[in-house]
Amino acid sequence: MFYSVLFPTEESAALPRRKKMPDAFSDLQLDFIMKRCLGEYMESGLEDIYYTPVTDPAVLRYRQEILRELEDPAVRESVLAIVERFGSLREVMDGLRDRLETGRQAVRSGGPGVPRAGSSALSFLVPKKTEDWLDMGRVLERLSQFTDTLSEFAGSVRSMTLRSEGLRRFGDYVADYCESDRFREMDAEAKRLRACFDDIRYCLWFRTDTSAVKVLPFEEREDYASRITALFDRFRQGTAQDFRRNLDEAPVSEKLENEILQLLSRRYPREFSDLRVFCDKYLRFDDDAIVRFAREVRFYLCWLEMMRPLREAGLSFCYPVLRDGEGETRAEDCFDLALALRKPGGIVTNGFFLTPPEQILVVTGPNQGGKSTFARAFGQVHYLASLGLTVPGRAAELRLCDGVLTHFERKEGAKDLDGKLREDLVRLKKLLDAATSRTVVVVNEIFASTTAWDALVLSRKMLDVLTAKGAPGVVVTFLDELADYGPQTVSMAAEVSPDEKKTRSFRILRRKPGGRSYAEILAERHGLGYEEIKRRVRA
Amino acid sequence: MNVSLLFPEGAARPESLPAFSRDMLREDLKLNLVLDAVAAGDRDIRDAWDQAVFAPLQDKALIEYRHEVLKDAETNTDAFWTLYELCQEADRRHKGSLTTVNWMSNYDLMATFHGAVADLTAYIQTLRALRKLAEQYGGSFRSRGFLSLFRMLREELSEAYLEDVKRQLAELSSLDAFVVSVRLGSYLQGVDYVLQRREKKLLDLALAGAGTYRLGERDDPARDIGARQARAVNELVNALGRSAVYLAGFFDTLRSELAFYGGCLIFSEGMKSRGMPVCMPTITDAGTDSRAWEQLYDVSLVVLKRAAVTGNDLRSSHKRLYLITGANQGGKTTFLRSLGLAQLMAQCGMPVGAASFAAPLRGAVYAHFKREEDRWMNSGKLDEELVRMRKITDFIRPGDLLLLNESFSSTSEREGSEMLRQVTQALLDSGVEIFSVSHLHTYAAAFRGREEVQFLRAQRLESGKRTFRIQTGEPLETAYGEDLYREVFG
Repeated sequence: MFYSVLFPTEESAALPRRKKMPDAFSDLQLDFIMKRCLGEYMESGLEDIYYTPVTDPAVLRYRQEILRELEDPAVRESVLAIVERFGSLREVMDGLRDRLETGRQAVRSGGPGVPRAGSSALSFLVPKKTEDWLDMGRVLERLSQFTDTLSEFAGSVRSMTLRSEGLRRFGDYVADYCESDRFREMDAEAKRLRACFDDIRYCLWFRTDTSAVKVLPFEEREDYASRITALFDRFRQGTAQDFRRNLDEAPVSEKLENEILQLLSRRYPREFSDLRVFCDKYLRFDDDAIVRFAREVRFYLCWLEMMRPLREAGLSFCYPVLRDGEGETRAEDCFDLALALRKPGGIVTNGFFLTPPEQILVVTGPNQGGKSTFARAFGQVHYLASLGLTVPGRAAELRLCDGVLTHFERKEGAKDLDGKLREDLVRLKKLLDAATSRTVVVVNEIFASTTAWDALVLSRKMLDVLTAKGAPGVVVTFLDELADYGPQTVSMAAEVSPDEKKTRSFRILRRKPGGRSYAEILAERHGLGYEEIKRRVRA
Repeated sequence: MNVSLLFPEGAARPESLPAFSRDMLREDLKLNLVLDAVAAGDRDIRDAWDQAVFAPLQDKALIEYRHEVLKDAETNTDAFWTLYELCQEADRRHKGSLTTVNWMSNYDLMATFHGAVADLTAYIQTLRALRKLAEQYGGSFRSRGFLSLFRMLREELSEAYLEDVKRQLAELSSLDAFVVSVRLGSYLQGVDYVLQRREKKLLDLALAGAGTYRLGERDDPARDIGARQARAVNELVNALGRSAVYLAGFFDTLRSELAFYGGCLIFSEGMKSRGMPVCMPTITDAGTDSRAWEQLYDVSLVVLKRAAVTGNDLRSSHKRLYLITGANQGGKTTFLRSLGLAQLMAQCGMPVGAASFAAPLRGAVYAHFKREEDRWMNSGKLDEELVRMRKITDFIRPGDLLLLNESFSSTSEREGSEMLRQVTQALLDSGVEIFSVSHLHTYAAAFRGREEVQFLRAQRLESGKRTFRIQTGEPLETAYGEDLYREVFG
């Protein structure tokens, strides 16, 4: 049985989720990442999935498998069709049901909304009551889309071997559904009706200086546009701008359009009365599990869509190996995803690893050396992994975490130094209290407002608590002494790398690189060596 | 109705030089000076030259085709300028007409409709005048380009055709009721409106028996009917609009192609009036690495000085690299410019500033000139130079021509020489032809004694006086900076 594409069981889906954005979101710029990722689907009910880290390995595996499977363009394409058509199906159908039911009552009771006979110039042609043919048409339209899309999906899934538990179960669900008698019956009837309406054509006459519209029987006549095109064809050269407006074909007055259909319904009574019966019978066709799937699977599709341009720009994402408890933490070619989304070119990637007892990275180096970026990337990698998503980097092995807590320097807040230090300590206390043995902690430039001596003493105390907790973390500091705190800490430093472009960009390294001459760097940077030029010119 | 004064029917258009290269050439070869002088305020001539000069032809036959048309224009100047004036007049009327102003971008579809009808109607008389001109002068032209133009005007713009156009446009301008055919859309709304042409009598008959619905005031009838009308005329407006654009395009093309030759006439006359020779160049195949010219001069300098200037002679064979050294302010840059201008002009079928000029076909032309602000040694300047050079090497292809003027002079002699040597050698080995002006001695010395290298030197007389002539000769040890010093400080 299939329930949700985000949780393997109905029980795990029912667990409480955070409704509020975690504090770390702004420091790690996860708020920006989420907004960029969801785009127009912000506030569509997926946010709490982002706000709630998962520690259940079964759920994480379930999500990673689905995301990985959706990377397959064929699988993604068939799922996309479902999302596009059914993403807002429930809301649309609720609206239609509402209107059709009240409309029916109005027609029966002869209440408002029905033009009275005699209000028209040619009253003998105006029916006693005008029905809401357009809304019935909409039910037919949606239902046809529904059956077509599902049949297509079932067909394409039949030819694939789905590996993820979630998609496989959904595929089976849809396949069974499409085999059911009710489904076959409504599909056949919808197709028959549509074919009937495709055969109905008519002509419409109107003048702009009157508000009268006449319906004429269909006739094939010479069309004006082709006539003019033929007349001036001899001057045609190249391509010209398209003067056509992208005009909405939806009628301005639904009432008039319904009246036109009412006139047509007298000429084609069978077709229109069949439509009425059809709508009564199948008004509740939108299946719960399918509608839920269409809404929830966007979590993955949006993520894939967000990764695509970055991958094209040469950045890597990977599925982290997640381990519960002790073990190595390792990541290669990580980057700050928020920064990459803002400008994908020239992103510097960094790797890190922690081999027990190593537990905390202590990052030092020059200002604007990419330290904060590195710290953010560290936090993002862990948090995104806890959502079951890919992480920015070429490869990653991480410990399961129940969330990320951050302490970044606040620009606002107390003005005097004493006040600032107090604020720092209060926030730190709150953070350390909240942290569990599985909470990743990211501390960026703490105690910048006090003396170096104080800062060192306080920072050491902070490290005492953090190392006692045992979870991985990163501490960015201006205190070089902190780097050799103990066996639990690893020193990393921001260094200028001569290979980089002229823009200020740095790698965070465990050791320093050797220097080279400016001229050599310059020449290489511009790709103006003999061999390189020859290769380019020949190409 | 294709105009084929610049290209015979069906000929492939040459590629334009990349934008960055055009910008460099405009500045480095002082092309804007030349273009402004030739155009003398005529926007069309300026645009036509600007477009042609940056799209070097890659086929000798095409160049000859233009030479032929130009000769026709020279021998029939009166008819040529009458034709040109007629096209300009059509353009002025088109742009100046109040009814047609802005109809193309009007938000109101019906305004576009009426604007396009009025515009098309206004073209009828110019088209007639064109045909009459073709009938009158057609006999005295000989070139393939002009003959096909006049034949087309006579055949396509017959009186019967023009009358038909007039009648149909009149019918449209009085259109006020609409009949459309309709299909049922996805939710049964009426879609795919196609405007039909109906005989009035038959229509009235059909309307009498038709079901009618009249919108009430509360239903916003103006907006609803307005939207239906827009959908009805959408395709028709497109047909009208496009037709008007095609017609304007026809005149634009004709005017612009005539403008190219008009510019050539003006150029030759202007140079001759300064006492400078002008010739039709001889273009040889891309494979022949030989060049010959007499009195090749920098036309931009003539424009600037409004006087005659010095020219240079040369005859070389099987050379790919021309290394120009010698006295500062000895005419090296001017020489480089004269060569670049002549190559570009020759390759688009224009006359060139020389008594004779023979050159092989080249692909694109690129220039890398020292920028004036580069006098101060500064790593930022070098960086800028490297960026430009990198860009060139990204685009340049075998068979192209590169003009180097004091490249990499913003760094030390040793470093600059080595960088420039690598670039020059790599491009030379890749099949690029290079003219390189440089005072980097180490650089120049590296190419001594090579078969494919032609050394040239700015002439300096024994007295130290410079003649602004460029002669064959290997680089000397000094660049005559002392000369300049003496001249300035006395």
